[in-house]
Amino acid sequence: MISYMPWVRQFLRDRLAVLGFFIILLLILVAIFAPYLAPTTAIYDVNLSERLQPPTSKHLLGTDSQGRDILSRMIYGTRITIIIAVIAIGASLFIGVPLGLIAGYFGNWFSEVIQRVSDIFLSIPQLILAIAIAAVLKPSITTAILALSITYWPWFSRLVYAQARSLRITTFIEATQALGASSPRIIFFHVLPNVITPIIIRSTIGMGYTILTAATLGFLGVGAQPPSPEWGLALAEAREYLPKAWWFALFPGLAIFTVVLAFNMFGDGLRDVIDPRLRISGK
Amino acid sequence: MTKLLEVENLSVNFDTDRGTVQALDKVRLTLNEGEVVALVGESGSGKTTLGRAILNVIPSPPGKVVEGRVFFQDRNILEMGEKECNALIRGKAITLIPQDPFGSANPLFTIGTQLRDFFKTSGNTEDEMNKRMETLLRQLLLPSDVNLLRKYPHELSGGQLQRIMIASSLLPNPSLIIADEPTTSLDVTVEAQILRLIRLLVKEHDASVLYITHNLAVASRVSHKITVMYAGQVMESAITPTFFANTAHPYSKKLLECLPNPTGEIKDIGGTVPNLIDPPKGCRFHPRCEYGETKCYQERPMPIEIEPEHWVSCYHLN
Amino acid sequence: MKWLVYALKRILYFIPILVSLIVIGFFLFYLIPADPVRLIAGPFATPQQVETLKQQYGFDKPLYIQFLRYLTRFFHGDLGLSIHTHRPVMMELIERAPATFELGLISLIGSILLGIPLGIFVALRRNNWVDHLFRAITIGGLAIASFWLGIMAQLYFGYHLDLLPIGGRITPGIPLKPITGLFLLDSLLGLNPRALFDSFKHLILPAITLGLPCFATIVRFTRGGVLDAMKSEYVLYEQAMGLPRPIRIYKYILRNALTAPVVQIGLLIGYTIAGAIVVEKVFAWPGVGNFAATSIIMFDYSAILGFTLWSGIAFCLGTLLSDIALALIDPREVSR
Repeated sequence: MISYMPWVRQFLRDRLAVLGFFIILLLILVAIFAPYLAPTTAIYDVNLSERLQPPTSKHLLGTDSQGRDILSRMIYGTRITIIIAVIAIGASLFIGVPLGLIAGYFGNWFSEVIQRVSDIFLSIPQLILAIAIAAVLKPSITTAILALSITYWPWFSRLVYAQARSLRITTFIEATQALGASSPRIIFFHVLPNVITPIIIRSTIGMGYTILTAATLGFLGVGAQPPSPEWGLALAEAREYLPKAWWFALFPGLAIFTVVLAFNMFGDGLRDVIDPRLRISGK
Repeated sequence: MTKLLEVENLSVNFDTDRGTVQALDKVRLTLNEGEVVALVGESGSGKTTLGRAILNVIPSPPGKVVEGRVFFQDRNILEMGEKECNALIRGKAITLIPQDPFGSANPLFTIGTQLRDFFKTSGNTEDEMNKRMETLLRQLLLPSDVNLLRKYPHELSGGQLQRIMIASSLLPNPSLIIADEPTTSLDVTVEAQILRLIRLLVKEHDASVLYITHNLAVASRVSHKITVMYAGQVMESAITPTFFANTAHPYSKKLLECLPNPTGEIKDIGGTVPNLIDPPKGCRFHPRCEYGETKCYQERPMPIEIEPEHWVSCYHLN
Repeated sequence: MKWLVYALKRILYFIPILVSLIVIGFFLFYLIPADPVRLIAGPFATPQQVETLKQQYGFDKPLYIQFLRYLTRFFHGDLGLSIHTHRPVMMELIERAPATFELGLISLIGSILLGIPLGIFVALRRNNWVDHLFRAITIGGLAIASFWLGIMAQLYFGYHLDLLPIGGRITPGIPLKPITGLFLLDSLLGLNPRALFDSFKHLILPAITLGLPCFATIVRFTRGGVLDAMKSEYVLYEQAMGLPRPIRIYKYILRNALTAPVVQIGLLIGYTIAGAIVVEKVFAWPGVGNFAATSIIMFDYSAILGFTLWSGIAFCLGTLLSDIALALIDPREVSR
């Protein structure tokens, strides 16, 4: 059994990565305990008499155009952010990894097809394809998640395909085959463990990227719809009230920045520990 | 016999994430003019590091020369500055034949461009260089037309590229050539050819060679003297015939035993090469040596000259 | 000769992608929605208009006829009518392309011209605070939402400092004869310093906003490339053969180091095309991106389809260009 302690120790030396980790942890905690942490749970109640108030002791981050407390909406927004990121990446993994494994391991006409298909998906910039999909179906958080999964899976399948393919030709796989192990067994017990590392790294980096894209979809109007407290949507709403209500635009964007930054730092730190050779590659 | 190269007490460390690798430990080596000295050792014995240290190209953030001197023609190379080394030593008086031709040739430039840039400052005109290169290439059994040099490294075969490297090493008429396992990455038939050529050329161009190899058989065919290294320490050094006739060091004896045997027996040395971050104290071979005793790790044995020009670092000489 | 073959190969590879793009477009917009005619006609169409469209697009006819009609329309450059501007989509795209092109070009070129030297500098100076600065730029630059950055920049430089304009390409009233559609170029060509200065002022904030992630990526990969090259065996050999340091670094290491960022340029072009939507919206920049952003809000399906196809094609062209750039640096690509 491999000891993970030296890896953990090396990771802990990277202060930025550790900071990223704690911010992510904080994010998860805030999302779970949102009702207890937010000053008010009435985040959808319109209260026009209190609209566009700057930060005060009553509303620490001010109020938005509908008089809702921004801090509370931000806190509830963490839930949306996490849900979108986790499900989108999860679905991409679910689609991409098996496809990549099968294509890489068996390497026949099927792999050609998958290669071509992922090439097609990758030929349009991800955001634009996501916009197109989300626009064609009715825009909502669900369609945003769907669009994100559909556009991100090729990254995973490509990664896995390369690994699976190179492993297929190695002698140890041949030996395992010679010993009579069946294909699914080989794939599951031998190929997959070797592929897990790049997958983990890409997932963490992908989380940050997905959150950013989801927020962009929200900003453009094809993601979360009003009255959702999603951060990108909040920024879109805030635009009209500039420059006076600067707080309305500052805080949601700051939240996005912090979270994406955390994932990036964490992902970078993880990659440096697990495989410094990968440092120069990847999105 | 004039001394050309004298390495005195050279120790080199490398700082890595896992600790400090003590790659070379008080290495001593002598090479006279006109000699071919084989530096023999397993992977990790420090032979390549020694070759690089002589040229003063140990990469300096991780690497550090802790002590020692490298005397070449009565000057300590390690004390010479970058500009001086580039002007006098590297690619001029001392050249290198690298181990992996594909790793060492820059893939983005043609061979010709690289060679021209190497030898631009050596004082000869481009015409002279071209002519000389042509002669060398012909001697190395390569097509000598200019088009060969217009190619990129990946357009050539390993044998061709390595031959170009050898030609490059002879081009500036060096006093010393450091050949770092020049035939290791080549097929056996090509290897035989190249060994023959090296011997010929060395005689013809009057160059001395430090021939680094892990292969004792090759060393026997090519060298006047053999120096054996293990884990960063020099174990034994002798004139080639004496070395084989009168092998003294236990490690050298083991190496000989590992050579393919007419009886078909396969022998190996028990144990593994030590980790140089925390190397064995004293004589670094002692953990694997059948004669190892307390003395061996308490204090490293000093080299003793048991017969003319035959030095051994061991307490067990009979 | 090899170059020609390589270029042809790349162009040929481009064709099936183009074909699949067209097919995806059809699939997305005609097959998936429950009532495509409604979508194309838009929420304000009268029943007669809907009927006319139905006939025109052949929605009452079998699938393959619809596809054929779609193909014919595509190759005639007919991408339909934009609902919110009431003009052909193709015309909108063509008219607005120069504005987006100028913005994208300046962003990318700026990122490259500033990013590569910085990447080299960071790689060669190996002390602590430089490394931290580097990490801050690369990780931070890739984490900022461009729309947020744009808005904050507007707030600070536009409203608060009143230093730079908040939106648009040029102050209304300044005469500029459009020759190429690229205002900076046109100002130069027309010897119009006032327009030049004014367009430049309008261009700065959007270009920085759009270019920041590109800049961060380029710095990161250049630094990586230089570090990798410095550790490589061939650089060691070059050093061992006495190659003087300046030549070693600025000719050899540099070219080797540049392969890493050049490979990224294709992706960055894709990012620029996509990012333009958001940045143009925030800065009211009259380009294709802005058109796309408005089309999204108005559910203008023909426009969105047109824009999607356009982006795909532009992206492929961009990738093609970056592949060629890579082949120029790395001769191994040509033989592949």
